[in-house]
Amino acid sequence: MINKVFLKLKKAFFRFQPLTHKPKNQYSQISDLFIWRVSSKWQTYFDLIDIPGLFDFASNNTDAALIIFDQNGKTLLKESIELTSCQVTRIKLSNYLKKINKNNIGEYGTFAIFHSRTPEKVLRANSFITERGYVSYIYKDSKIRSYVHGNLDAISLNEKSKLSFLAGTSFFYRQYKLQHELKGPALYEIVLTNPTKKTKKFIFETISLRTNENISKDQKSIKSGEMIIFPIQLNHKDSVRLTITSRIVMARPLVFKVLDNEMNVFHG
Amino acid sequence: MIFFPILNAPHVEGFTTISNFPPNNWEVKYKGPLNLYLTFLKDGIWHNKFVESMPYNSFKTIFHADLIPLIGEDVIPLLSLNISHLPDTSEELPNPDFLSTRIPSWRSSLGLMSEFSKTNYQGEVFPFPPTASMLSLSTFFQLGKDIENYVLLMNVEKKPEYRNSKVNVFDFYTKELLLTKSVSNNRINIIHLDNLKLNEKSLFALTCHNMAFIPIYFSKSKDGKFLSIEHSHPPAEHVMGNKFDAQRLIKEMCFSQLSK
Repeated sequence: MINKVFLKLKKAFFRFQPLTHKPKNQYSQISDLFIWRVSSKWQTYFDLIDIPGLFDFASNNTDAALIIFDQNGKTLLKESIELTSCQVTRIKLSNYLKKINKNNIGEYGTFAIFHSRTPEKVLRANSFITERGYVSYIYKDSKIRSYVHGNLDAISLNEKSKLSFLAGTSFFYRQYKLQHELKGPALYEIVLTNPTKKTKKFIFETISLRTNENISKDQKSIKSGEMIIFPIQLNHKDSVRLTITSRIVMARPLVFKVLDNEMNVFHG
Repeated sequence: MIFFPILNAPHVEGFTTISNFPPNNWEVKYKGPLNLYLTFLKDGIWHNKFVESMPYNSFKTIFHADLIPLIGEDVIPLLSLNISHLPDTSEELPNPDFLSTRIPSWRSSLGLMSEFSKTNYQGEVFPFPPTASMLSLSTFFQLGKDIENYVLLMNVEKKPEYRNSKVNVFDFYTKELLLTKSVSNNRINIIHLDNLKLNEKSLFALTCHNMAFIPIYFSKSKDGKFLSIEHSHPPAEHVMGNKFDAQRLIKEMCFSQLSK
């Protein structure tokens, strides 16, 4: 009986911890924390459209701020990008990374896109413009870009150019169970960001689907704003499921699957 | 009422991998077997076929090609997980009696595969009301003589009947109507996007005033070595806060600009 009451209270408690927090400043802009990968094997693109213009069809061209971070969350570049109303502005991240006068920026990191204005209709609804759009990746000599959309209101930029992380923190540890079968032969790269205000511990567990036994258990500490790529190399006939335990409300990863020249990307 | 469809598209095979475990450990406590059912529309009625009992913590993959002898080429196959059993037939889409989740929704891997490659996204479908409409703003067109681009418009409604409508494809910049295509509910409608004068800068809009769809964009190299699939966001996803109003406002603005 006590156990049942405890479980009910715990469930209620979980429900009152939000996935993301609203920015305090009404004029803030919001973005997901997208992943860039640029190297001899990887290229990253982002499809920008004038989202505020969808509410009022303002005919003037507008702009958005691109902020690129390294894998540790340090700002590498801020750039204004001009958008053409009702058209796609596709940016290639390597074109911006080239401008950074700094060694060892690494082969991956994060970036955010903040639109320059909030339409009156959105302000009146006590809401915010958020960029959760479409990233695409080219791996090796692929003829096509592989798309994945953003899915979290991760970071905000206020009128004073202050960045704030918005992801919710949980009092208890929670598990995120990837509902995708990881099958060998392949290299899976599990990408996680920490869009909360504090360092978080993440436990990655892989469980064999054949024996239902734990194959691996790794613990990683990710500082606020950092990202990591957690590799899972699977051989032929390997088949596992993945659980991520953390005190983030939803530690949903981005997943890259690589095998020879083939690449598949999706979010959990 | 949540279902997991199996996709299909030209020159590739569709598959869905479904899991009997939730995406988190705090919303659903049930840890028993679940009955996997295939639901499909035939002769004006929903048919529910038991596939197997899935043990907890297991996956099951179903391929579209394996279902064609049973359901036909153009019928949308819907998988569901159930604690109890479904009737053999039903006059309304059955309501699976398993507890789903919210953060995030219980999802399956919905994929397409060729001889050389696989692509998937994590998805599910809830039946649409028959009064709903669709606006999809897409950037997904990929230009190249060796590339094919499609949109798969997936609709599921409760009633076991087909009704027809029309989807318009507009260039969002010029507002030019590029294509009008007949579509149906309770199907995956496939529209070929090449030869529509789209280019890499094209933002294009798909509209339908009396039927809703999940718009899934699929690009492939002609040799099948490279595949990409992703759905576009509903307009409401561009806003944090009052999504209902955002959806209404964007649709009103866009529908008024795109006249047909």
